[in-house]
Amino acid sequence: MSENRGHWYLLTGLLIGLVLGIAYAWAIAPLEYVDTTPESLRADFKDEYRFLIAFSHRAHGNLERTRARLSLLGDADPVAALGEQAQRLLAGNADMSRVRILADLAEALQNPSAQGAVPAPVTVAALETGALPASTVESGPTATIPPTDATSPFEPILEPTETPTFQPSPSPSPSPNPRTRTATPTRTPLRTATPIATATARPSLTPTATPGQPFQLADQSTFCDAQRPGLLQVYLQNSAGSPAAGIEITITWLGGQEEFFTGLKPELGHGYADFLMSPGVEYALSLSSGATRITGLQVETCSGDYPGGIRLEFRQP
Amino acid sequence: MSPQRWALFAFSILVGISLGLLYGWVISPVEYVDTSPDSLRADYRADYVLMTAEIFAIEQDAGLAARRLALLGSALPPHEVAAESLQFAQTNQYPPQDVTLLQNLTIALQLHDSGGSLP
Repeated sequence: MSENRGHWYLLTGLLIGLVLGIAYAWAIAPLEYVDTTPESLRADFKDEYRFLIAFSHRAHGNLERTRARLSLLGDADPVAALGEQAQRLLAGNADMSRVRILADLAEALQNPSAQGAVPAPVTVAALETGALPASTVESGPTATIPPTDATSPFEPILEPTETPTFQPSPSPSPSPNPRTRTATPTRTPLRTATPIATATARPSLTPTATPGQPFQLADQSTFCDAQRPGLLQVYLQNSAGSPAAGIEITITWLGGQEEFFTGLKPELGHGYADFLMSPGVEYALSLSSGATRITGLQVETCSGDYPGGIRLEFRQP
Repeated sequence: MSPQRWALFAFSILVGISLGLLYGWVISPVEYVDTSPDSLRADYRADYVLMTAEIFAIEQDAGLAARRLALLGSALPPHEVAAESLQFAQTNQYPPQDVTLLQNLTIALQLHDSGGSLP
């Protein structure tokens, strides 16, 4: 090689090094993510994680804990995410009890004041047979396992370099970013440990009564929309005037019945639900475990010779 | 090529490697967006197990609990996964009621894994 060829060899060396470096960094020793967060989970694992959060909420009934857990999934709107997942399950003909679990949590998040009405995770039979510890039975009429304190269970987790510092903090609020959490292990126990393992209760998937008064029909109207022929639209508002999500609606007709929930189409409102009616069939709709019942719902033919829709608005007194 | 040029050539390779590593590890690292639960950090894994324990408390079905824990993808049997989380909870001072739930799940899974009798 002639000494007069200039400094191109430096560029050659740089490029060789660059290629080797990138190959090492991407292929031989790429960054390994061993300590990931639930937010980075694949969509199907996220769904399973979200379902577990909803199901465990039935057990502990602690909305703050549930909110903290849901925040880990990084959903922009956790209620909408629950609704969308329930909708996917419905579309896939999944077990209705799974749909109901998600819908119940969506409703609890929408209407926190109704927390006392979290579906009872133990059956009445378990209470009657004394299968539960006395302390559990005494805890409330729904016999749920008493909620733990409001702190997320992963609140006290420390980074490897952190040193635990005990700070009296009666009601610390969970931070959305677990990595930035500080250790606040001091808690105010709100329940005594009960020998839960002795309980042989099974979860009750019996539809629970809507918290508060039964819904009342506020408005009923028909509409003609060729884009939505034969659609029964139901809008629910709770006593606070907010859309009521996760409310079970039962539609019956001669020879059939179907259950669906409000809030499964969050893009149309958390208190919205719809059902596609067939012409010539008379339907009855019931809400609040049958306390509210509307009968004689039938499709009317519109001027364009297509089936019209019905819009029902319910409000809770 | 003179020894000085060889030295400069080697140095330029090293600079290139450094730049490559900087690009590959810092500027544009491999991104993992669709991770599986087995890569979760220890505290999230423990919370996952705790949720399973909370559900187990009302279901009392060790088989279902074991299936839920299988999602964590651990090579360990379910009762050891639960035991790990129990240890983690105790070390990190989880509330006693949560520790109790994890204990109950661990015991139930031990029974389940051993076919009904404790080892």
